[in-house]
Amino acid sequence: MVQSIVLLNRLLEVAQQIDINKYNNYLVLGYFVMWAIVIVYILLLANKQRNVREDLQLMTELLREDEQREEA
Amino acid sequence: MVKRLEGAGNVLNWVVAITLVISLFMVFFFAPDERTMGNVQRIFYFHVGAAWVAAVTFLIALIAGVSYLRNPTNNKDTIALASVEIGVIFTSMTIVAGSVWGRPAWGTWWIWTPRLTSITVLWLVYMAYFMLRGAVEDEERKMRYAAVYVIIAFVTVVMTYISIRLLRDIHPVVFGGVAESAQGADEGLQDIARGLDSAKMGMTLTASVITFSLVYLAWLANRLKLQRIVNEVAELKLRVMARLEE
Repeated sequence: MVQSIVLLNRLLEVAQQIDINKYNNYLVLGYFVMWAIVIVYILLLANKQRNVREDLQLMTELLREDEQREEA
Repeated sequence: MVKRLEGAGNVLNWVVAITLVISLFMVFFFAPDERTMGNVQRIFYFHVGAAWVAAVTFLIALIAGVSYLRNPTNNKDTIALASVEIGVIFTSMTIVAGSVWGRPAWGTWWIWTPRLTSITVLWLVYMAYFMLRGAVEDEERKMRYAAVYVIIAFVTVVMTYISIRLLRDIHPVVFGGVAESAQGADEGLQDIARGLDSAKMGMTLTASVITFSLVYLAWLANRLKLQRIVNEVAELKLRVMARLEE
């Protein structure tokens, strides 16, 4: 009797233990998507910064050329 | 202060890189396994970290908005704009990570519970902030309207925070208690919140909140620098146009 209770208890314990790696694919997906959002934002900022710097250079050159033309 | 923050941009970038590595190490190797969910619970650290810092960025945007209305300057408007932009990024991360965690936890990617509905409203309201800015041409009016909008929009942050504390929801309550009428939020998978009793889990969560706060500061510094160049270009464009008209 005691032996069967111990065995039953052991079986229940095993049944309650879950595989901690069962949902690892969701863990990977979760972190992948979070990093993807961060990377897209950084790339957008970098792209905007490059465009703005190009604009700045162009405007500065235009103003310098205009000033030189006026002086001449 | 803005200039000091801009100057600290490069240092902050390096600090963020180091703290991110430490934080990731803690999430994957230091924090213990959660009993009911297993490894997938590790999403929680970045999910909650991003959510908390998003709320802080919206609060800073609100403070900048109030401050702008009292004493208008371009820097205050830029701080509000950058904070909302970064807050929307963090909110997007929170929503997506929560949805991915919800699939194994709740058996569904999405469910219209009070918390998930209120955070969707929050996201849409803050996205509309950019539309408002794009719709008004006059710079001064744009900044004034944006400042008022960012103050009103903060209601959605409060609504999202209290939703699971006042209404029945399956979303876990990690900090603080819940109202008696919302006790449904204290059943089943809510055990994850109790798992925070583990000091290691608490330390890992703290590390991720600190990391996201530093990410916010670094992005804010870079964003302010970028906005300064944008303003310079706008000024130069006006000068060029004035010369062309002469």
